[in-house]
Amino acid sequence: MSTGSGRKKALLKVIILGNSGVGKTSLMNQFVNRKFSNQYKATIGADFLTKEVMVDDRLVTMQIWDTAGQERFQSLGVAFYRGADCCVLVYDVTSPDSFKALDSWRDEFLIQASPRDADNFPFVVLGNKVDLENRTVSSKRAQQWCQNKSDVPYFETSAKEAINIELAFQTIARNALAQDQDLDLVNEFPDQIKLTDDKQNKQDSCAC
Amino acid sequence: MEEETLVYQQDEVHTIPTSLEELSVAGRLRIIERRHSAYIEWRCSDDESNPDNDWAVVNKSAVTFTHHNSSGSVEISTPRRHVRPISVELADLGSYKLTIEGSLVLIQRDGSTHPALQFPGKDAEYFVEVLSRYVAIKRSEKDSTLFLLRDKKTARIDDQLSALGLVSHASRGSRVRKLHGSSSSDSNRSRGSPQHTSSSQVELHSAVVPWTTAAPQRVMGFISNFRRDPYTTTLTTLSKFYDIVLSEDDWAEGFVSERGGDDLNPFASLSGLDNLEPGFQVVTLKGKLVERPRVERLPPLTQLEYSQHCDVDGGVRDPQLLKRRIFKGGIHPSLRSELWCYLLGYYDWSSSSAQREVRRNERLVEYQKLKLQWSTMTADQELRNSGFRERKSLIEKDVNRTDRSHPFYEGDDNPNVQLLHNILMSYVMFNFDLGYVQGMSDLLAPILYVTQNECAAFWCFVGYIDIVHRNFDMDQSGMKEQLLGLQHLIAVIDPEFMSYLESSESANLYFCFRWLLVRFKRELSYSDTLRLWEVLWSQEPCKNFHLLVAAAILDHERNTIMENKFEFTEILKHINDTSQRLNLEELLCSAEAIYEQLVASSDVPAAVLTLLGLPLKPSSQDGEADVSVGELASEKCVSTDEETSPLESSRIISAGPSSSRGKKENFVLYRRCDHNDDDDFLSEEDTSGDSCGGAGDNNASVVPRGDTSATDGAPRGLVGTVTSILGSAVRHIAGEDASIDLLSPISAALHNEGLFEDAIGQQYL
Repeated sequence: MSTGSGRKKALLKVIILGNSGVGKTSLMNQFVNRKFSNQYKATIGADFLTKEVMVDDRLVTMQIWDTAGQERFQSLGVAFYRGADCCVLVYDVTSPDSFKALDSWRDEFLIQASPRDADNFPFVVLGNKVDLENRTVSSKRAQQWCQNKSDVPYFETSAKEAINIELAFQTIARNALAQDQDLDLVNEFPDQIKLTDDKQNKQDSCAC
Repeated sequence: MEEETLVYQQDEVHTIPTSLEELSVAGRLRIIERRHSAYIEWRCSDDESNPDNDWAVVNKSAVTFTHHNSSGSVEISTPRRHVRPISVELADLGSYKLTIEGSLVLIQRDGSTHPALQFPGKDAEYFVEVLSRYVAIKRSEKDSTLFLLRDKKTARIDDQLSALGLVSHASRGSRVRKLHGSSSSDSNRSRGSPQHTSSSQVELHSAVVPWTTAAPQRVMGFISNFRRDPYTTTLTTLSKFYDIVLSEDDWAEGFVSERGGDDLNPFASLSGLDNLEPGFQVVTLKGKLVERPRVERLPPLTQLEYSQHCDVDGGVRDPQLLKRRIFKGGIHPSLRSELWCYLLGYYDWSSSSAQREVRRNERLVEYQKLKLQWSTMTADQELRNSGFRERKSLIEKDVNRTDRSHPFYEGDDNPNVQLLHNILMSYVMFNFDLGYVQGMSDLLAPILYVTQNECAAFWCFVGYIDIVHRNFDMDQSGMKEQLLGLQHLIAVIDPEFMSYLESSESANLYFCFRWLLVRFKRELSYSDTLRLWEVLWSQEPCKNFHLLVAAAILDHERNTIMENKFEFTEILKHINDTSQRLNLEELLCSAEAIYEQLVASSDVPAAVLTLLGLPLKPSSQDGEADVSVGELASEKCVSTDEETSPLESSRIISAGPSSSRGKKENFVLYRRCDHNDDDDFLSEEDTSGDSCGGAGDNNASVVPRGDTSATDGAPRGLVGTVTSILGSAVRHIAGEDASIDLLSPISAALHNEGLFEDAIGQQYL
């Protein structure tokens, strides 16, 4: 899709990552279908749902990808992460382990998706299950983490009670759209420029 | 409320149950005009009161029932059925399937596929008539039930242009491909949404210029550019190749690189280069498969029939014969709990009733020991056992969301959920290294449901995991091997489809991942899952029959996928949406028919024969057809036996089917190591590329024997060089050779595009 015209719908690809059981599928369904079920099965492979939303008077289609949370299935991630416009990192506020895993989810995503500008790639962090009482990860701790990652937007959500879902996904859409437009600008230039730049480096060390 | 005009309405349009367990739900089908767009909507009749809530799940019509079969055992049970209303904007509707029986399936351009609806009186004529006021409808030439939709205006222009026969459609579309251009391939790339509505591409067969006429110039251009700037040239040219192959196979022209940069992918379609590269020899597998036979299945094995298989002591006289029978018809539900214990290795086939009694007692003691090991673990102990803690936490999460809509597991505090937990925890102690991996709870739940006995379920589960443990490899290599095996199968039984998948970046078949990981459990109803599994456990008529089942599903969907020009994302959606809508008996017939077809055909590649555990035929052992496209699901490498074979030291760099120029042939691109052409223009890059390139040690199992010697020699030929360089890059990314810094730019580029997975997955290197 080209930039500027504003007439065609933009397609924004959003990837939801996080440990098994933090509520990735539930968040996606609460946002897209406005419903919650405690009977979602563990996600196997990957699936996505789409939803049209308005972002600043522009109609965009969000394609939200839900993947399996167990670590070993991430080796397939690359097939699904390609071309992502935003990555949503989810942890469960009652599970310190799922919070600690945010770093590795972020790193893994950057490695596998290899966005052009990794430093400025939009992430959004969601602390899910705030409806539960046995919270163990404090807001402050999570906010601190997000600040350290160049001010990643942070929301505390409940997919079950539909708390903050709309707000969070509005932000996700807006940031993804900004990323999408940046990408379009980059794509105006052929890749070849980049490859030519790298040529020197490669020729110097080709003795292997 | 917006203004809307009702242009079509039909009541009593029912959902079509896909299994005995489901009830049909009546609803109202309408076509509505709203704000310059038309929509097709279907809504369950009970839901009329709530027209605003598009996404509400209709619970009122949810149905649960349990029926008792003649034997008195609980046989069938129904998960609650959520009937979701359908609303599709006509512009988003890519096609529909309509049978003469009046069943309608709406398929969107993004791959979303809606549940089948049944017209009353089998009559959809008026619906189609109204529809045709808005869109041009064209029946698929390959599938008489498939109808493709196009925008009317575009369709008219297309038809006029086609009639003139002057212009390639592709040149007018959003993706212009230069067939002979000498400029950077980037210039012909455009970025578009996968959902772009270029319905003009429905008929793309016409007026495609044969690209091969330009091959000589391109080779010369490549040579001079390669001397000047090998890396840029390499990648640029590969991206061109990619485009060329796609353009050549123009009707497969789809949404190829909508996210940008994808034309760096050199692995998808090297298959069109036969005329180009003097360092290669194209080996054509002439094999045309014989026609697929018709296959009949049998009713399930009954108690009476089973008793005839048993001797006086209660042992099974001829296990093979019985297994063959189970394969052909499955097992009557009343017999399942007993026979599954045999199929899954808990009982020996030959054991007498008395011996089985002993076995049960022994195994009970063993199971109880395992259970004590985890149940006596104190909280304090757990703190120091992170591995245990992780496994436990995963199991607790998963059993609580495994088949909870099935009556056997539904409801709060269901004791059967606790049993699932106990068995999985005991399995962790039984096999701590494998532990618990997601998907296992799906494999266990039906077993516990059938056996209704914790200890028997545990040992049957152990037997099942023995069969499928490679699904849970830490590095997923078992899954990748199966996907690769499936790839080989498709390439043989349907080269045109395989070629399409390659051109649409879907050759990795990742959309089949869920099928294979839990053996179709998520795709089938409960009773069908039980049926399929016992059929698979019979190990008849060959090993890896589950891959034939997968091939049968793909065979069923291939026209829909190709004619809608679905790419990876759309295929994934479409495949995920076929879940719970498969007809198992038809699939089993078709899978068996494919098997019979392969058995009866000569010239089936060795890789496929090995995959299915079939004897290698003489023609596949003489080197010519030793395609050995890597060995799958098998430890052995079936390579050539004769050292004199001209291709003995060759290494396959690309193998794949091609539908080029309409021919249905498989071919394999070999690199010949004794070839001396093109020596002079190869600079030291090639040596570096080669010495590091090709198959890494980790992939030894998937590379034909003799590879080591092949990599020692200097590579010959352009594609050989290119491939070697890329091979190095891939190895570098894989961390197998950290010293190859020179390749980091390419590595980055490759990694960027996710080619590492593709490359490993497809084993083109």
